[in-house]
Amino acid sequence: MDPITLLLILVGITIGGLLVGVGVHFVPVGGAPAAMAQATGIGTGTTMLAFSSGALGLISAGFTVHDIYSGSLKGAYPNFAPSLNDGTLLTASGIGPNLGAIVLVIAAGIVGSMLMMVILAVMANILYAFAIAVPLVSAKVKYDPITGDRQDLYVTRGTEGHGTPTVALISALIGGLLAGAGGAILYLALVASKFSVPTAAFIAIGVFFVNSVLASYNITGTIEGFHDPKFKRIPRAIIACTIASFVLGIWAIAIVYLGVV
Amino acid sequence: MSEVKELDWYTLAAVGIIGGLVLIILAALLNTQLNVWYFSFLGAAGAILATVWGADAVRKICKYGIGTGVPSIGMLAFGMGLLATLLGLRIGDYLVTQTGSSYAIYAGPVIALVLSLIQGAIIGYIANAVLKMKIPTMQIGMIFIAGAASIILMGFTTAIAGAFDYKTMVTFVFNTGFIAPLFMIGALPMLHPFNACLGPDEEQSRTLTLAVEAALLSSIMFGIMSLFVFDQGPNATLIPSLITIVLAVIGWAYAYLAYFKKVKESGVIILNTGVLPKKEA
Repeated sequence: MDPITLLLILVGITIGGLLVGVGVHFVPVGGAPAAMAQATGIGTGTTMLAFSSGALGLISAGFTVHDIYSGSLKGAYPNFAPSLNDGTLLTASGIGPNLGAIVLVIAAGIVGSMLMMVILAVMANILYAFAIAVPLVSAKVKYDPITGDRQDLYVTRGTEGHGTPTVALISALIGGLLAGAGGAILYLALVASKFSVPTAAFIAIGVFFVNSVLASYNITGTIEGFHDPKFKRIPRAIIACTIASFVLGIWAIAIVYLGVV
Repeated sequence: MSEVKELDWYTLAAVGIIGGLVLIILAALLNTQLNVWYFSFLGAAGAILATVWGADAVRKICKYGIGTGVPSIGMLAFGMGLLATLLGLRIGDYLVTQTGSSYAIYAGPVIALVLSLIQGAIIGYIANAVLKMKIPTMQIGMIFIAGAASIILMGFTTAIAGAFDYKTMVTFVFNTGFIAPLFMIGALPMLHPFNACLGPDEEQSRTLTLAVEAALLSSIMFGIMSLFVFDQGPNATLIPSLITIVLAVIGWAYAYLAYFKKVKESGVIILNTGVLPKKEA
């Protein structure tokens, strides 16, 4: 196998994993208290949240890869299928002609992931507002940094906010963007190294889990978004996720070097 | 409640590593030597031993409260273990082609386990040194859960497909899509027991009984999946799957009753005192 290809796969997995780890910091994870409308954020743990958004990102990226490879977009990107077949997608000469297709796949991953985030946040907000009857407020800031709305007056005493307010929703979208891009890069790097589609998907999910759990250890399980004081811990997660993904990437390129089938 | 002496986690690690590896290798060895698939259930037995080991490690780490919920650690373990296991098994296949000896395949699980332990050590170091979690059991605990995840993956792969080499795993576990349930209900017996039993009167024997019970429940599922794999080709047979399923169902019923007994032992009688009087006398 071409050493440049191996290096590009390693870089792809490292960057993909890093983006996932950073993306988790933007996602408003509320955990169990948020499910009872006692804390700001989406009411589930980081792992499930990262998995749901990552899985939808992977599905949309995978669907787009399939579409470019043998579906309706084959005519628009004719170079993609041959270079995926002979494993030259990730070489110095293969990236240039396929840049459009690669960007399209990453964009598809981003769209899927952001869609999942917005569904998780807004659907839950409808329930919080109209079924539990709580205002959507953050307890970490006095004024919403985006809308400028007063927050602290509306936080019920003894709780840490309710629902997903505007700033947290915007933050969730940024998180979905980063995590979706990371998932799509991971998947593309693995598919281009000739892993079968399910193998590539599940290795990507494995890398996804490692980085999302490490990132959630960094924020000790809950965060409200980029306005949360815990967000300042992000440099630690960048170091941790880079090392972890790099090691996972080395295992992956070792398999590629020995031959994937 | 009587004070029962807890099993040391190094003892359980020895049981998980030696028992798990021996049973998995024995399953594949007997299957190839006798040219049958009847011994595939031994793979599930190895995975159960590894589950007990992993569940105890999860218990020791999560006692300190990791802030993200217990399930996250099981998913982390499988994320770490998956790539390391695949690489280890690929090296096993590579050794077969290099040395020409078909026995070199049995080096695969050992290499996979060693790589997973290394991977766990790196992640454990990151968690403590970079993320500053300051959990004293984190370093060794991470090594243990990564190793346990690796043996569980290989054990249930053997239960599904009768062998554990890279090619079998990719063809019959990944490409059939069985990896999705393997990832989830393989991790569940490891993370669920402590998640269900945690609390002030959590005790090791009850938690680990639940781990065995949950692992046997998963084994039933993998037995059902193996129906698809063994029912192919010229020597299609359903017997190996049925052996796995029947043994797992019998074991599960026994483990369930044992767990129920443990729960009843730790339970207390609630005395009904009625509601408080409306007026104070």
